[in-house]
Amino acid sequence: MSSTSPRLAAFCRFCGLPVFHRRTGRSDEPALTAVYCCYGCRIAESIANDRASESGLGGIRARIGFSIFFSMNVIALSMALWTQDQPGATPSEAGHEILTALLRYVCLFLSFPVVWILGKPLFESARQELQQRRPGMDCLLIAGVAAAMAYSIAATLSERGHVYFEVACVVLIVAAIGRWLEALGKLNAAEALTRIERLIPTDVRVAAEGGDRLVPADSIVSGDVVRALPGECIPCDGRSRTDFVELDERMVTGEIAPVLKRFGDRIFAGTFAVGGPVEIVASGPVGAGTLARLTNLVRESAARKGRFERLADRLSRWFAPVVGMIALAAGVYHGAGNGIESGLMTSLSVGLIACPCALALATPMAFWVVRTQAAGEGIILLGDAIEKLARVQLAFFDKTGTLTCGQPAVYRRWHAPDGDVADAERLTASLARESNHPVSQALAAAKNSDRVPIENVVYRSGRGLSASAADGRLLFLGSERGLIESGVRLPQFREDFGQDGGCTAVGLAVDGILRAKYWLADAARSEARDAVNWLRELGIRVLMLTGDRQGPARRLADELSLEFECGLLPDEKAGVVESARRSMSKTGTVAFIGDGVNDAPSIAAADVGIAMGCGADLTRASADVCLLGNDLRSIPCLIEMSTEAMKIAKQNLFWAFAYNIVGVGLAAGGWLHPIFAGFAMAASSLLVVGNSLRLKQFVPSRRIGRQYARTDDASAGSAFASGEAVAAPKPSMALALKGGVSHA
Amino acid sequence: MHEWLLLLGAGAASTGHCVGMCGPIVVSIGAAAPSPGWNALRQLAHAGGRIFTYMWLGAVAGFGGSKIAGRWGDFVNMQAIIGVVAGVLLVYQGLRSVGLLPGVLAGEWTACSTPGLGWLFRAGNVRESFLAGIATGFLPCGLVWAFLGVAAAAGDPVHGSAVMLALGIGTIPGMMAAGCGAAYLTCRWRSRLQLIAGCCLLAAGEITLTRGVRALTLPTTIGPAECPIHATALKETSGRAVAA
Repeated sequence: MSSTSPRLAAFCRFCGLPVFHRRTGRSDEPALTAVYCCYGCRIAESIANDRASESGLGGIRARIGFSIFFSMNVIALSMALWTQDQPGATPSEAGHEILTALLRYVCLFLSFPVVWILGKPLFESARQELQQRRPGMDCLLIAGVAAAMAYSIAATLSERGHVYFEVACVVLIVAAIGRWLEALGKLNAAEALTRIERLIPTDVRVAAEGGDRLVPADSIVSGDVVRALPGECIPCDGRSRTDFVELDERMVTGEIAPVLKRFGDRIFAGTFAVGGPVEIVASGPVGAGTLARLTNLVRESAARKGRFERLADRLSRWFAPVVGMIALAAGVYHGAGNGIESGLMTSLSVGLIACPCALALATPMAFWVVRTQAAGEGIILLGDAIEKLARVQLAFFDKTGTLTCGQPAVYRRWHAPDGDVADAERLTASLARESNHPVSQALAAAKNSDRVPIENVVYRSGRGLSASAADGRLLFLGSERGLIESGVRLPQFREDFGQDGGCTAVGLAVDGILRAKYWLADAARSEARDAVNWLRELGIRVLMLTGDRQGPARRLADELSLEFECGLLPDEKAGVVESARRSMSKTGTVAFIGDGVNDAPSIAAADVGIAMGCGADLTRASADVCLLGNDLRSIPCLIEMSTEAMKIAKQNLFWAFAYNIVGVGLAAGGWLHPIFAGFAMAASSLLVVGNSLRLKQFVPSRRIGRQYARTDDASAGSAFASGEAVAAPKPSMALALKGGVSHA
Repeated sequence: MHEWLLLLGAGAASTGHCVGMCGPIVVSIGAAAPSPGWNALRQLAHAGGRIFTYMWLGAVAGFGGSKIAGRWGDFVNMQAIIGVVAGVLLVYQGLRSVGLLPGVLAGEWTACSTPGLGWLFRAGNVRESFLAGIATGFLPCGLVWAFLGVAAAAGDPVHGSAVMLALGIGTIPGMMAAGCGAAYLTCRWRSRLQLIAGCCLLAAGEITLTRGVRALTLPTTIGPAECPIHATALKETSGRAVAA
């Protein structure tokens, strides 16, 4: 925002859309004062404040209510004027005249409050438009109302001609109500986001000398010791002052299982204390916390405009001046033909019926709903991703950590034909539990068999574990090298071991005789197959890119029936993505899904870069889409939603164009009374808002949810012939949020 | 004169219906009042707002009726047709009220149970109670619509709003009592009142209907601007016509 720039971009205080305007040269100008993109947002903000302050005296509801009351009076008196059938009217001309004049004056005085109450914010908005040298519809509207009022006042004073007080009042009310409802729609659209924001409590417990003190969350500063009781949300980022405390981090990282925190560990805002109270030393104010950054990112990202939004923006910039000219021309034409009143009413109708709101809201509204809904599901859309997502034709997946869990799982097992299978499993599990090595962890988690007492455990690096059972048997669990070194005979070992698609092989020897063999490999996520199939159903070609060797890559590719390219360095991956993007630039877009750390170049090279498991670190990858959790199925789901959003945006645009062309034509022809024009304008905006809000009810073609996760465990088992996935697949934010409502 | 009494009585006796429909609104308006006195004031303000809306609707209906009659009056006796429609509406409501037709009396739609509309009827002070009253008046209600039919048949804004005023004043005692205190009405009393209301409605409906039908059958004797209920001239004319 340099001062020399002719255009200053600020963000609408309510909806976060950017507001462009020319600087007028005055240095005290609005950079710091609240800026709104439209009258509706101005109203929306006042409603939001209103709700917070329990509808105070200046409440928008009361203002509109009283305006309606006064307008009802004006309308009733106008009806009396129309019928020329006043109560108590004597047949004499003089009495009739006096009564008519009296009724007009009463109308005039009753319409003043309406003009004052509802005209003022409209006038403010119009003034802001003029200041930004971008006269918009508010200017036209206020000009129309002012003209109607001025003409009516002149008619009242001169006792000649008709009065149009009721037109001015109803126009103001309809405009206010229409935009108010529009603003409610916007609030409604942002509901998913505000739900997240509301997780932060308004009052937080600060540990002080005389015990805990409740202070407003905003007053927390760096260094404060904040205490959260079990079930309470941690309001700000900080370091743990409590040793061994469990936290529920699902809001931030998508991890559904409680995470153990030690003294000094980093703790994020938006996580919940479970199990016991937790004390943290705040590292910054609440507004700088992880949760606040997350919601701010979503709001800021709404400012990046896509192709459609830019088109609508360009058009709506020209809209008001063009409509103003048409209104003027129609007014002059009708005024010359049928008198000044007819010209005035025609101009007012044209100004009213033209609805740039519908045009300007058509795309942002639909996209805003997708953004906030996605945020509620743990998907942060950072760029202008929606338009591109809707056109995805080719999706590249990274392998390790994206399609797979990144941790080994038992893939196959073998037992000596003459041995006791259960005994071997028991010994393996008991021995594996003695080590933290990932392979041991996988083996320990593989079978929940009984534990047998183990003694004299010796860990031999790179080789395995040796120990003795309570009954005196000598045990060894380890690699080929370890087995050979401890003198185990390995018939046909080389043929079986280590040859199967890049697996890690481990053997269990009892008293120097091999009793069991295990093959471990990086397991595919339980939902990976589903996600890939879903993408194919959407007509998207899916490819796997990996730096891994051919063996493991082929094994996974076969399992998920994927095409793949292996042995790629990060730069080469990015090259593949880049060339695909170039060759497809006409037909569609290319997405890359990776874990965001070593895949950053590819994510940047793709049209749509999707980073998985961003957790608290949202900006680490230059991704367009960040998944807080790890559920791959949220990608096809998001693509479906984006496609739907594009469909709705196009409907909105079509409607806005059609409505404006027909409406302005009718009004300019003088076939539309201003009051009906006002109603039509409000209705058209509401139609666009309502159509966009339909996205809130969007249901993906496949189920993602708790129920799905449950059945998933079974399919995970079948994917691995006899083994089981070690690391339980992390459920998505979708599951987490649905399960975590009780926190809110 | 007795038609006015009937309208007033129908309003008063419809208390059972009104309390059922709008009771929650008046109770919620009074609930937060600091004292019974303030509560009564709030209830009065609410009633005032409600009646204001009724009267306004009556004026609009009356105006609309006169416009329609003026436009079509040359071809058919529109005034009489509106009168017939209003009479049918009243009789229909009356029959439902006495239980001869299925369904509760126009209680299909309860404002408080409609999500997202509750805030319209909330009030924190006397002024807001008045506004809530204005909003309450616009609630869709079979009884109000039936009376609006009568207002339209009246054929001019002033008489139209007078009809609605009669209804509104009739509903004040019951609604005030409901808002100020309590479940004073047992179910038994409510059903008895419902019966009385039904009878009043039936009687008013019958009169309106008869007038409308008579006016229809004697189109030449009645000017379109006259009101089938209120214009005494009409009564005399039709009386004479019948006598003749």
